[in-house]
Amino acid sequence: MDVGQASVSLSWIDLEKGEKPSIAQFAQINTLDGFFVAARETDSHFTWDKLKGSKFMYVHGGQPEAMLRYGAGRKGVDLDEVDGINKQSTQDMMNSWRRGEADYFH
Amino acid sequence: MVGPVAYSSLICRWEWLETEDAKRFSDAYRAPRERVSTADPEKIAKTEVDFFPFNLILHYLINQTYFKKGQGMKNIFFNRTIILILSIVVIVFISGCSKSAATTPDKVVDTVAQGLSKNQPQVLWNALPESYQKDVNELLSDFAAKMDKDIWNKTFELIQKIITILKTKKELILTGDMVNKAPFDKKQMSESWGSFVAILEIIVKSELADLDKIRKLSIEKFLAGTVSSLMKKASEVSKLEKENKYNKELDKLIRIKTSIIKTENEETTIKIEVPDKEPEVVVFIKVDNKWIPKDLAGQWKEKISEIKNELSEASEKITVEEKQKALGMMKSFDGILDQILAAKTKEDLEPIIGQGIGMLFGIFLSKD
Repeated sequence: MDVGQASVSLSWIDLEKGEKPSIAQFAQINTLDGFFVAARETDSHFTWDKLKGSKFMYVHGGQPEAMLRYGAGRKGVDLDEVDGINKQSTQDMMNSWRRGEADYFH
Repeated sequence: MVGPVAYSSLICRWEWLETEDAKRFSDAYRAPRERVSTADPEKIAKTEVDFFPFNLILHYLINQTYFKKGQGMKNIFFNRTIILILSIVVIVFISGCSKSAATTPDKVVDTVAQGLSKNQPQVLWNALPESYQKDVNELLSDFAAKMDKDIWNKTFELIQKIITILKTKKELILTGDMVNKAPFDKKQMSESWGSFVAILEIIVKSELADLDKIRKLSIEKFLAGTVSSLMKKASEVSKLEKENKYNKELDKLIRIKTSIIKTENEETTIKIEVPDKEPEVVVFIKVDNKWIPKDLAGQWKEKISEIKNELSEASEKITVEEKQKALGMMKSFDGILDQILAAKTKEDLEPIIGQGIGMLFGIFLSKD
């Protein structure tokens, strides 16, 4: 096999160490990452600072957290100031959400 | 969108990048990448749909769902309908597993078992105490009153169309790759086809197709008519199976043995022996002059209350927007059924059936 597919974050750990990644990422498949933040109730007056003081369930680690952190930062919210809830898997997240845990979901 | 950060990338070994293959690959890749980055997303989706119809339809359907009060993603119509119908069926049958107006609980068990073995499910209803019957009737009436008539009628219209497909496209479906590559007995499927269609027809022609009839439904007559007919058809289908499980289970009912162990303080304890199973000891008490298991009587009010609350929440009148969304989804499915009806060859038929199955999976997966 010559060509494969991987998330952009594949090389981040090596790059953060100042090392050359072992795999070459030579082309983008798409150009824009993105995400949704869901709330329990419709809120036409949502502002990002509402995440502060609320319980926010989001994917911790890797590209998902990095993109969320970047997006929140652009809106003036430091993710470290948010009461984040971490789960082991997507299924755990969904189950916890259904049980009523957390106010916002990423 | 958070900015010019790709979600995904192509990877390779560093040394491969220097090869002629890599250059040719990159040249070939450049134009389509540019196109998918700039073209209308809807056009791209239409181009890709043949490659993975199931996933795209599934995603579309999931996007049609909504988040509600911590219950996760839900599909409004199907969730409510399923919850309501299942709740009612569960109540009738669980409570029906109690007894009838027989003088002792062992006779009650015998009466119910014998009745079921003869395709007379109304014995379950007759075994219920009057107050319990009233509870079930109220739930059913409440469901019929709150269920949206347009959505309900459209549902049965779709089932009727599926029946027409099953009747007219049997050979095309059975000779297609979808069936031939599936891990089940095609001969048995072909033989039981007619009975399966007959089961659907019984349902479509029953009182269930009309909400007004459901509201005034005589459950005893419904069990004696529609459900009895369904049981007979189920028996016919089962006979075509190697294991014939359904009829074997019914046969066990005929051979059930019951005996009274003791009677004290208005409670009677009986032993129920079902072939091939461990004997069960059950305590019975009287409610409205009918014998029912003590455990059931102890939980009845609480369970009924729970289900009523569940039904009340689930059967709130849907908004205009929700209704249109549900009807829109059904209209899409209706369109797929029309395409299936119009198909002349199995090559035409199979991709459309795949879309239909994908849509149904999406609906049920999104209901949670």
